[in-house]
Amino acid sequence: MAVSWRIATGCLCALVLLPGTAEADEELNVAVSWGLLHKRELPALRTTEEIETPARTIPKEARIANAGNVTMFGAALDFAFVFDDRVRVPLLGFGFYGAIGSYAPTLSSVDGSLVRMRRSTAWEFDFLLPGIGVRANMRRWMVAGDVRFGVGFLGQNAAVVAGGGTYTGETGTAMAVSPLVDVNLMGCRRLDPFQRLCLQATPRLWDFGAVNGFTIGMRWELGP
Amino acid sequence: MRRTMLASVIALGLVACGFDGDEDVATVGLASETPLPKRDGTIVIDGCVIDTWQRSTLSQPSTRKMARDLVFLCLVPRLDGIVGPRDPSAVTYLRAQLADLRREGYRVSFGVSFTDESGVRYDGAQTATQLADSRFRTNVANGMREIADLVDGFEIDLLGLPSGAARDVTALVQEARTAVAPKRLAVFVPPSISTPSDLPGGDAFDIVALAKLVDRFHVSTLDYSEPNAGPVLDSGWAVDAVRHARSKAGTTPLDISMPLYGTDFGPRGLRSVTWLEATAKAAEKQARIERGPSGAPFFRWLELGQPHETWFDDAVSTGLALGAWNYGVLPPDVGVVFYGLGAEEPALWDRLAERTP
Repeated sequence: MAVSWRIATGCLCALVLLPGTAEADEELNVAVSWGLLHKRELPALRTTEEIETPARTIPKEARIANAGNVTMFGAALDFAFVFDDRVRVPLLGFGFYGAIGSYAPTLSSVDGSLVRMRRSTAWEFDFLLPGIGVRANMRRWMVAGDVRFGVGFLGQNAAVVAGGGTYTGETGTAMAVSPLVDVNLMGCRRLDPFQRLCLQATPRLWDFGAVNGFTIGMRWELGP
Repeated sequence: MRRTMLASVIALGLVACGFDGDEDVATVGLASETPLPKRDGTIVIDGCVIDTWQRSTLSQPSTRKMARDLVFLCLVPRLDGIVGPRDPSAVTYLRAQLADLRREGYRVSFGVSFTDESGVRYDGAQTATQLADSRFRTNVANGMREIADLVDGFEIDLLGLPSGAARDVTALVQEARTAVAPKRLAVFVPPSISTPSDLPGGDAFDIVALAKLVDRFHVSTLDYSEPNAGPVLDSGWAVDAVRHARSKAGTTPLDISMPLYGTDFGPRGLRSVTWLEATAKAAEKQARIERGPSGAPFFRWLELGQPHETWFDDAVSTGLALGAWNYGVLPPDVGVVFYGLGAEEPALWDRLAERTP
């Protein structure tokens, strides 16, 4: 095991440090991606504000258990540096997704009060952080992969049950925050020297839980 | 290529509004993967005698799994404080009934409740007058002592009192404690959530003083919606009531209450209903039974042109409340009082027991 780690590290260093056939070069790439995000299990949420009901007041940051999966559709924008046409360093990025499809309402509880949540109102904002990766060109085709980190903010409408009614706060939203660990895999076709259209698949090693998410979609990249 | 990309984005975007399906997914209750929290259960029976259907229910293993204590609201003091049963044949019958239940593993208590000849329960003003009379209190306590050999304990059900009766309530409980020791003694207390109490007469129970005298409190977290139409129970409000009582009760254990009965809200007032009555009335009136946000079933119907709204509970709504009361919300030593044997959905005990470890 120790030997294979050393070999892998040596290969990565060689890839990064060995001079390429062209001049050492850093190029900025910008990309827009869109597609589906699926989560196996929605995470527990916390109220973002006090929720007043005729029966009682639910405090801010109260924990609400959650259940069920969700599929979302959305888009993202991100930036990357490419070194020597091989090493990709994703920089910052942003993504936003909203639930699609039909879902049964979720019945949960917070501190003994019943809560009704609607998976169809689930949304997620991802703030993508830097990572590291590689790419390879083969004529008009390119393949790339990287590992990057981020922070996900997930929200859902939540209404507290009191007597015969339901009550929400001003925003009506409960939220959860989680670190993200994405493995991006792309297969691209060059449209011209500066544009590529890619098919992207991203298993999420951590997404509000271990191996809890997966995205698949298209990606349009600009840059050498 | 670009038009195709644009079209696919637009198409997916149009569908990018999720919508809700029909059946609930749950993190609590019978439909969830989480079992119901196990708690000590007590069943309250209105009256001295159980009928054959109630007897069959108590014989079910599922019922015995959910509750081991039975409270018969059987003792009604007369104006002078004398309590029954005093008729020898009645005593013989009750002795046999209670012994039969004990053989099934139940512990049996008599509840002392205060009604008058009109059958109107909890005439608080009359009861307060009676309690202020020391002879009345002594007669009640003596009456309990005389029949103490029939039961494992006694419960005092004194709701509807004015707040000024607190000292007399404590005095009655003190005399009862002395009279029936070493039998168990418990008191039903109103579901106050604040001090001073938010309820009329809620301050008639000095829980701090009573905690030194009783073995258990039953917090009567029932009839949440009255006088307006709505569910009999609100699970969150019930938690607050138990927590409030617990803050004063020290180490004396408490129970939260769960209704087995429903309520019809009509033009002539309120009427308790059983699950069988409610479902039969809905069928007779061809009324659609809906579920409120808490899962409690309800339906609306007309009688001679007058509107009624009937709310009741079933296994689903009961399971939701029990599931919401997990150990993080109420500790394991908080028990559950199921109020009104015979009013529940016949499958209730089986369904609850299936989901309870």
